[in-house]
Amino acid sequence: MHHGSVLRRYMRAVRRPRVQFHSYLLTKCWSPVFVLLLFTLTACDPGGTPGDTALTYRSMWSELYPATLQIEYSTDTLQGAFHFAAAAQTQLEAQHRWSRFLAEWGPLNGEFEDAMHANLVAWAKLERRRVDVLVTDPAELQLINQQLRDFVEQLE
Amino acid sequence: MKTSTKDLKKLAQTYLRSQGFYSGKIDGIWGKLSKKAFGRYLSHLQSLGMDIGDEQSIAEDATPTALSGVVVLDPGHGGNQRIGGSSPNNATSASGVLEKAMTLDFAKRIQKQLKQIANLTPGSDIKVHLTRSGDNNLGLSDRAQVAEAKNADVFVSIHFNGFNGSVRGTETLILSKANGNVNEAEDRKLAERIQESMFIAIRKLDPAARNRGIKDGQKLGVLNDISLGNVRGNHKTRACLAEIEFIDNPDVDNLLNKTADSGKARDSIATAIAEAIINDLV
Repeated sequence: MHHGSVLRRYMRAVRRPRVQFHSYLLTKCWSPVFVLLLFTLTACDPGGTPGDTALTYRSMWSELYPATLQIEYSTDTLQGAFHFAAAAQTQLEAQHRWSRFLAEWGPLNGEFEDAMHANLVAWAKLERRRVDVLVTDPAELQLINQQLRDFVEQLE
Repeated sequence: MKTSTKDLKKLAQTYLRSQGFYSGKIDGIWGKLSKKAFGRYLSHLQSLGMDIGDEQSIAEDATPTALSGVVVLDPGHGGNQRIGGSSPNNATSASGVLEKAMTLDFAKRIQKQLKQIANLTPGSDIKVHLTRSGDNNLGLSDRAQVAEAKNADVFVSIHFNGFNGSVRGTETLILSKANGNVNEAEDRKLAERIQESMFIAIRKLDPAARNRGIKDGQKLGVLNDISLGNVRGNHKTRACLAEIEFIDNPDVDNLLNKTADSGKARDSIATAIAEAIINDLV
């Protein structure tokens, strides 16, 4: 009993400061902490910070042709799978979706089916590279953006 | 115009009518209507900057000898499953018409026109095969192998394009030498004929048409020379892939799918492609 009560007292002594610190944070400092957190999230580059793949993403396709993404195609078609990837909302989604598109719709034995197939795969390759350099390599990002704009110019 | 037989006059009238210059009967009688139509056709060629020479030389150039050859037309896509690199469908028109249905329809129209032209030219023997005649899919190499099996002179794969709903234009694709084409020069000649003929026909229907020219940057499974049976020193089959238009563009969709004249528009483009193939066989 004696040892037990000493131990309980000791435990209370050890825990108290931590409990107190948490309650102090929650009761006194929650609003500045929340504001700081909100500021950090909203003020950072929309592309996010290096390595943070869960942050906002917008494909070049959806920047240029948002209306096309509203047309519903089955995702087991070339067009549907492409639009699904182009509509990704986070970098992580984009990485997965563009990679999956290229794996599923890449040319069989290096041979394309037709012009549309070749164009969409070429576009997807650039978008996939773009996701990787979105926040880590501004110079490469510029280059890829330019390549996509050249692509559009050549087609239009 | 000095034509020796009634059939040749019928052939000319058929062509002029398909191009929209002639509205009279296909009767082989070269009357006022036919002459006027021919005059309009010549003016049209001049307006395109073509050196047309004189009527006599045109008539001589146009005088067909007996035609012979084997043509394989390949309506792109089909069915409901991906097979050997071929998808059931790629482009979809603005109103929802599928590319696979349009390619089959065009292939059948081209086949009909080729047979009609052959029938009008005495002694002709043109065989036209389709890689598919229903809603089924074939792998890319299987399509090309039909050309080898039929000992084809000409293989034309029919496709429609799609991108962002606003781009448009007609283009014809071939394989480059760098991508393994053993008869690039011959393929290019066929492609140029088809491209020019197709573009003129579409521009006649819609002045906003755009000539995107010949493209040889991509390796295309259906044009693989090994599958087509072409090898160095023995390359009989000339091959290309025609991308007729961007069907996701609403203007193109209207032209080819939605108006009362869409059937006629399809016919005139099909005739233009058939004419180009005939010119390649001659």
